[in-house]
Amino acid sequence: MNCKKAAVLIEKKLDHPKNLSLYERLYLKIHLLMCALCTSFFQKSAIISRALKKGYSQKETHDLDSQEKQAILDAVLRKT
Amino acid sequence: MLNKGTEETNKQITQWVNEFSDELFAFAYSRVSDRDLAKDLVQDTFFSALKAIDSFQRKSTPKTWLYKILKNKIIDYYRSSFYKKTIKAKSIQPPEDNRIQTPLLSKWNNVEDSLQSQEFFTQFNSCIEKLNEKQRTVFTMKYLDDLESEEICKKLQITTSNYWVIVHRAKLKLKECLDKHWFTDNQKWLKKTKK
Repeated sequence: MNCKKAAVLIEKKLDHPKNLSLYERLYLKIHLLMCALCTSFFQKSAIISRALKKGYSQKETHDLDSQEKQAILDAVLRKT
Repeated sequence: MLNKGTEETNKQITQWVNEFSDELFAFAYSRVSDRDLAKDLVQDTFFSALKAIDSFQRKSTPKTWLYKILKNKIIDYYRSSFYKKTIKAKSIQPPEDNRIQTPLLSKWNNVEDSLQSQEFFTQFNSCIEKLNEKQRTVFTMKYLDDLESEEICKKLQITTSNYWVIVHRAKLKLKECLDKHWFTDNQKWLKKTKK
């Protein structure tokens, strides 16, 4: 059993359970039963996915100030 | 129809810059995380718009049209930065045997409180900042743009196996960063307050 292979399967499964074939699902299930490290990573990775989802949805917005806007405009019009 | 280089087109571009540059900038900034680069991308967008203004048939709104140009500029940028370094799919790291140093999962199990706290996300964002550009790009496309993994691979012209390796390595890095800076420090801090 191979942790490298399991790691990729874990990410695929967390992205969408349907990403795994029947064989892959079984492989991962058996591996997780035997491997405490991958089981722990699986749970932590799931938490990180949730944090990413939430973190990106509350990203702050940024504005340009009027000088920066003018600079963009000048640069664009100068090129013509 | 508008013609290039006339008073009229210049007036039109000026109006668009005033009206849309803020939101185009915010869109670009949230994706490239670099003010100067985001400004360049917006400037480039208006420049391309001015060059192609003859072909703008007003089938779509100017805003939609400008966003389309900007999105293409961002993808071009992503691709060019992806091509600088080739990704080796083989060099995936399995989870390390670091049972002693890293906090037990039980601390991670009480993560609900963390996910509600602003401090957690301040720390989490600084962990994201430490990722490399490839990794951040993939997360931005996935979690900000809500793209499916296949679409991301297509846009970045990478194979799916590369994609999963990038995702896995990025998450491993985030996990280590959180282990180090949140789950340990946070626990120490809790102990201190209890005394």
